[in-house]
Amino acid sequence: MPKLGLLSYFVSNKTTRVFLLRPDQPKPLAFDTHVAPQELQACVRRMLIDFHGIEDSNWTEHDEADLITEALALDPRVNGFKRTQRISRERLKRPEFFYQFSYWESLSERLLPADLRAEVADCDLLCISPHGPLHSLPLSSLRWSKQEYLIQRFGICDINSAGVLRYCQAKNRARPSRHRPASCMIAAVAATEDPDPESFEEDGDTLAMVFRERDPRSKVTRLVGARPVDGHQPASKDEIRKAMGEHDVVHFACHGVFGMRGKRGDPLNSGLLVSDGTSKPSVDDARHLSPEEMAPHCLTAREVFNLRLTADLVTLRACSSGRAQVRLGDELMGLVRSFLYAGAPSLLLSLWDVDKVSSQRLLNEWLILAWPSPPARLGNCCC
Amino acid sequence: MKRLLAECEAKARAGLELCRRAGFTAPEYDLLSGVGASLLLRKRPQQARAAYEEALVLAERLGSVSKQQISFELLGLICLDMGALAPARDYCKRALELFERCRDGLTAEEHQIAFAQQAASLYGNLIAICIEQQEIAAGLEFAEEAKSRALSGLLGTSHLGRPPLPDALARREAELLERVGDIVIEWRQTTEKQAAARDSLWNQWIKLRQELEKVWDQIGRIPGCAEYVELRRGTPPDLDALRASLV
Repeated sequence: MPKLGLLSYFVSNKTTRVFLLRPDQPKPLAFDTHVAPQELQACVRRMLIDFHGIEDSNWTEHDEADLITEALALDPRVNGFKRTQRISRERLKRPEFFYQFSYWESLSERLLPADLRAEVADCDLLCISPHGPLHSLPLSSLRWSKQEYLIQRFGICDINSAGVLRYCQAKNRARPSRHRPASCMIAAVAATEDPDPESFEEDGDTLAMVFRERDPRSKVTRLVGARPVDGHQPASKDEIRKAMGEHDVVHFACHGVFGMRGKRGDPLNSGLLVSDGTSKPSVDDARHLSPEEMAPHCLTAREVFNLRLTADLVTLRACSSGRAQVRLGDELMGLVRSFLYAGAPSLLLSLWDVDKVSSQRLLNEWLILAWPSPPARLGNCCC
Repeated sequence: MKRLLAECEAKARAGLELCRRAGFTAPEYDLLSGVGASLLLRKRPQQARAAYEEALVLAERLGSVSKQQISFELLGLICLDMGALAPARDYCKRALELFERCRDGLTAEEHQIAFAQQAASLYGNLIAICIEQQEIAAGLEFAEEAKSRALSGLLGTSHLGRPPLPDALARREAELLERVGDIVIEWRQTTEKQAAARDSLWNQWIKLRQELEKVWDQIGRIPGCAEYVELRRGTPPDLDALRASLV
């Protein structure tokens, strides 16, 4: 039996506390990390700037400009102009665009204090329940040691809360005990702006291969591109909605948008850009058009609420698919919420906009390494 | 600043006398709260506590749940600052109980979320008290109770595997849950401006919820169904349930 530990963080207005509960220990433990919420919020802001660049509109509001300046001053300090454009593979080659997350890694010693490390050192799997700004930070990439990140040392399961974990487990328990994923749906579509649509539309090859290698009778449904080709159905909203509820694994390879733009946005307008049955979506349109205008090309969080899924795992290789607006009652508003409600107990997502090459590589390696034992049927994991 | 606060307090006290003589309870509560706030700002916690305790009695007499909740919360905060942990915890817990009672009557997810924001500091205080009192398990329970309550409530109405139940009971629960689900969908399609439609949905929701509670009471009495009912009700996990979820 793997050894488990629950790390439950709570960010108050003064400090961040972490509770440790191990089923093999009689009592839980508590640790004060002495990390103030403002430090975490600055990290969240800086990480968004590093991944997404500074939006022009942010500079026009005075308090926003102050907060950006504060975030840019975190180690390594950078000038604002170096972060005015989005991260891209080409830019990374230039020294002025060199990215380092030392501001985040420097919190490792405090967010994982020495006493806590000693208590979890022999665990195999850590179930982490973040709170507040920690939901938007990659706890898995905290340093366990100079050589290892937390994710390299432990299996990590990221949960909304222990309460939500129980629902995910209940959904898993409701399946037959010998249930193994036997079917998968792959929806893959590039955008009109993509020069290499195959980087999306050939996605899922590994997943299909893994399924068929394990059992040639596995059902693999591929919804690819904008319109029907050679008997293949397109990755259109209608086809996706029809097929999603009938598969054990659901995989998307497409662009994603986070609906919370500016202060007036709605995180439930976040969505996955798909085909309308005849044409590809446009990333540029998604940035400028209204949700109503984008409706034929966007499967929104609001729409996912009305689906019924029986999938064991949903993987979204789409930008910002795991990004959420964290409200004060610690409610995460975005795609995660709607997929959990629709019935997905485990999710693999991205907290930011991601590079299509590296995300594909990461996902393929994860599938080869992890399948078929995980996804650990413990709960929902957000990477 | 201190002089101004003292002046405010004197005027509020004069107003208090008038209210008492006239029997105006609601304004008396407001003025007492003002006196309490002024004393707190002047760093006189003992006297502030006395003022808020008096205000609490008035809130109870008025039957105002929100006024009682605020009074309990402030009393908890004052006691915490004074280092009186046991009464601080008691006051905070009572504020939380009232908060829960109000929250349970909210249909819309967004209202539940907005409401939850008010309890955020309360949970922070309770956790700090529990840690001071070396009651770590209770602290952990509060930490998890503070998270994603509206989502848990929402998941409670979603599709969950039902344990073996008598057919009639299972059918009745399924039917009620479906109707609750329809109301949630309809509510999402309305706006703040459609007050009449929302009122009607709210009334339907309250009735359905009451019927569901009765059904869940019946289900809860069937051996092995307690956890299922907890999930349906969105009850936050206690230490045993947390431990069980890790095994």
